[in-house]
Amino acid sequence: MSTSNVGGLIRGVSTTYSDFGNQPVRTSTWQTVANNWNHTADERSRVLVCWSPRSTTTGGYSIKVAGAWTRLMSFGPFPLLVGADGTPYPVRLAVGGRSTASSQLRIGVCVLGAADADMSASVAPSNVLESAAFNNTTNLWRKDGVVTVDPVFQDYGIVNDLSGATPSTVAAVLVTVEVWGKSATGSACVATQAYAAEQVAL
Amino acid sequence: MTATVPAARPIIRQSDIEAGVAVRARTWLDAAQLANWCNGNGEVLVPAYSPEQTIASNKTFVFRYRVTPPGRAVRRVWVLYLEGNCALSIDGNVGPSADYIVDSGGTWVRYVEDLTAKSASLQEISLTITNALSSATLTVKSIACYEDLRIVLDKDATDLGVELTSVAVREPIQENPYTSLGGIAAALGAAQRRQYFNVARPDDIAECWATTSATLVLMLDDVPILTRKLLSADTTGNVRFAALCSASDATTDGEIDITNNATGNNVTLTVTDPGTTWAWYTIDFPADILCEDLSEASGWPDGALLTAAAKTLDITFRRSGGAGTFYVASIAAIEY
Repeated sequence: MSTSNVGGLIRGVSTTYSDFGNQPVRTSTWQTVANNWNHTADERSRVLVCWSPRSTTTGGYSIKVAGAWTRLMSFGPFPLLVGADGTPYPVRLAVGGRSTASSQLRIGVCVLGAADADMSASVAPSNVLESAAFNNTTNLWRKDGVVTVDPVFQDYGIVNDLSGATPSTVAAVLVTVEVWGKSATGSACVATQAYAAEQVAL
Repeated sequence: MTATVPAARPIIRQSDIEAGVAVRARTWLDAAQLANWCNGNGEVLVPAYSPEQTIASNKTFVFRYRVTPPGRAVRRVWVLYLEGNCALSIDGNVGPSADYIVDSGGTWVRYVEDLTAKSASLQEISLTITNALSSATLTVKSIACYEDLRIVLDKDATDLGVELTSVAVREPIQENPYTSLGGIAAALGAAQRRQYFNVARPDDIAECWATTSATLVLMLDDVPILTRKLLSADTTGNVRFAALCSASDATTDGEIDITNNATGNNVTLTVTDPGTTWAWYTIDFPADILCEDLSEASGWPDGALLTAAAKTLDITFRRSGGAGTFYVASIAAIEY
């Protein structure tokens, strides 16, 4: 949901600091500055994953075992943006693939170290989306939606200056975007596409 | 005295700013922190994708990407997911290469480039992966690159960091750069850009996209895309496409067609006589690709990617002249 009053940027505000000094500045100008910063933050979200097929019927990665949730792809890890309530920005997700037998795909956003448990759970947890069963040999998007991730912060090393100078450690929510599959027949399920992007919360 | 970047995003209470009422220092502190938060978090330069590429032992491949960074980052981070019992080295554009051991069960690899200068220009970044002589075949399952976050911004014309102590309680409104209310307004001038996708295959004519077909053939199918919403009435945004192209001889031409499935509109990138040397070609697709809808939980207009109106692109290419082979090694979509 937009946190800015007008749901977008308002044009016409100076970005020269001296335009705001030693002279009266209208209240509406400051309302505009506040609006523009809130909207800029709403739209600060980033595309984390954009993997699309190069063919309508080939490519991708297949599962290696039958009857069990198996990792097909892992993307990241990435540090997520953290919202005003202390939880990471929600992530909109989509996953797709093809299959020669009844199969399902899952896509999830998992805190580092939690992927195996989250993605192979018998019931998909709230940070994981699960497709309906499909049996179709065309590469298609099978499931999309939005998930949120628990605010599990981990130490994350950064630098604060050029050439690796001034190292320090911050707390960040580090996640991988996981694509897992399950099929009654080994190698029948193929993941061919995935998408993940941050999104300001409603 | 620092322009600290907060871990969590503040929200400015706009209702606190009204005529005839004194505005609390807290409101301006939120504004200064929000400015630093927006400008201190890095952009994802290469959204993760799978090149679906294997690298034989004793072989080197270079993946080249087109980016326009916001220009405040001091470190680029590459993250990869690799499979194969391999020893390998990874090199970027800045700093030394690094060696890794990976295994067939899948290994996450993180390679950092500590930058020596900040840059906001349209530029190429690349990743060179060398699989060692004694290794098994390496499968590159995913590649991504992002700018690392900052915890403190510089108070200069590049970072536009806002000094937080200048908006503390009882502080006067100052007229100095990078401080106080003027600093908050000036920081709005900092560039914010989103990279929508960046898909590279090796710049090797045996591994990249190649065609001798005079009719369009598929490069990428159903690529999801949502642009950054700028003005409140906007329903679309501007996207610049860049492609790394070459040909097998001096007289072969090519075309790349980008079709927006949401509108049916397309643009065609015409590449005339690229010759055998790789070069970047760009085309703009203005005001056609859907932007985020902030009234939807997913951001997708009408709520979901998988509705009747597909929010995806189809990218196809063909040889449009000459008798040789037209090659494409990389294609990127960047906000402009």
